[in-house]
Order: sequence, then C-alpha cells, then structure tokens
Amino acid sequence: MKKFSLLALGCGLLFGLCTWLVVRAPNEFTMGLIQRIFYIHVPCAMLFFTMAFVAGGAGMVLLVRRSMAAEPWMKTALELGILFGLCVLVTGPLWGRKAWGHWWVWDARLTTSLILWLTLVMARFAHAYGGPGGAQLAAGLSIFGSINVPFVYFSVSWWRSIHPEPDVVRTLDPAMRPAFWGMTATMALLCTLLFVLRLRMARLEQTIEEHTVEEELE
Amino acid sequence: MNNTKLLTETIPAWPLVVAAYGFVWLAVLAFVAWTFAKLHRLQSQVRALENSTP
Repeated sequence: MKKFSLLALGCGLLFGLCTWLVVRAPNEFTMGLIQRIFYIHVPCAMLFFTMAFVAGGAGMVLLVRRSMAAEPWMKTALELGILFGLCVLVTGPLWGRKAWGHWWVWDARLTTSLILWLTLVMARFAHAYGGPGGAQLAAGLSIFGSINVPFVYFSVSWWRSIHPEPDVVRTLDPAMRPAFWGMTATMALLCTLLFVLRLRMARLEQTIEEHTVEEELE
Repeated sequence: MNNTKLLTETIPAWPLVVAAYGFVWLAVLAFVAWTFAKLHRLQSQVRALENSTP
C-alpha cells in the first residue's frame, strides 16, 4: 500500500507538470486555444481503446478456455474503458462546439465511438445484473466491443468525416510534443495504477463470492 | 445600401478548455473515491468472513 501511495503521489506531481506543459504549449495556428483539449482528449481515447481491447481479450479467454480467472480482468477493463470513454465523449463535443459550431454531429467517428462506449456499458451491466450467465454475456459483448475498435480508429479514413485524421499525432508541431506525450504518459500511469488496484479488488470480490456460495451450500 | 449583416457567433474558448480538463479530473477523482469506498466495504466483508469462520 505504501508503494501504491508513492506511485499515486508521483502521478499527482506528473499531473502538475503536465498542466504546466499544456499551459506553456504554443497556440495552434488555425484553432487557437481550443486545440489544447487535444492534449487530454487523445490520451483518453488511447486508453479507451486499450481497455476495450483488454476487456475483449479477457472475454475471449473466459469464453474459449472457460477460465474464471479472466473475469476480474474483464470487469476492471470494462470499468476503466467506461471511465475513459466518457471522458472522450465529453471532451470531444466541448472541442466540437468551438471548432465545428456543433456539440454533436452524427459523423462516423463520433457515432462508432458512442456505439463502443454503449457496448462497454452494456457489458458491465450484463456482468453485474445478468445472473448466472452474466459473465458469459458480458464476455460476448466485450469481444464485440474490441472488434469495433479498428472501425472507430479507421472510420475517419473509410468514411467522409469532419473529425481530424489519425495522423495528427505524427504531424504534431515539435513544440507541442512534450505536452502531448507528458499527458499521455501520466494518463497511462494513472490508468495502470487504477487497473492494478481495481483488479486486486475484483479478485477479492470473486473470492468472497465463492466463499459465500460455499457457505450457503453447506 | 446593403443592410445584410453577417451574423457571427463568437464563443470564448477558455471556458470550454477549463470544462474539458475539469471534467476529466473530476471523473477520475470520482472513480478513485468510488473505488476506495468499495475497498472499505470489501475489507469489512473480509473481516466478517474471518469472524464467521471457526
């Protein structure tokens, strides 16, 4: 727990540093100040996709190998995927309001992102309230969600879209890179910390549940 | 004389930027608080189980 507290403190310090880097980053030529949402929107999107993949992988293990050890992994990834997905779906429209003049448009990228987020929410609800077969139903939905990730990523290239292309990170101004990569590293560290903590808790919940069932059977 | 006026909407960017960063930090904080509340509940469940086991 002491190690965890130290890491959390490090994460807090990194947040401070990143906020300073974001404030110090130069204004983008065409969009100006609103472009600074990019430094938090894109790292959240990266973690949203990663968590969807982890949930899908765990769901696959759960269904194919029938291993219940994958269940806490799926549950944790679903919760963090929902958290970071919500951040993407809130910060995006705040940017869009200024850049496009609309909070929301039914564009391919925005629609597929919303579908992915709703899939993760459905999977988490199915796991929590789905009864004895809830974990399997959640696993199926998680696999569906992870299959959706490439469609979300390439949607801007495959269909006509007003959302910026995925190569915007590669072509980023060198003066903007410290803010972007600093924020990405901090968010990834935060996500890893939360994942480890939540995974341990999910395993403990599973053990308690098994004990309770055993006691009830006795 | 042309009376047509160009209607432009100027939205200040800074409240949107502050709202975006504020939302993310609040969402993360809420998640951390919810996780620790759950951890506390789990610890009391473990204690109750330990006490009930002979």
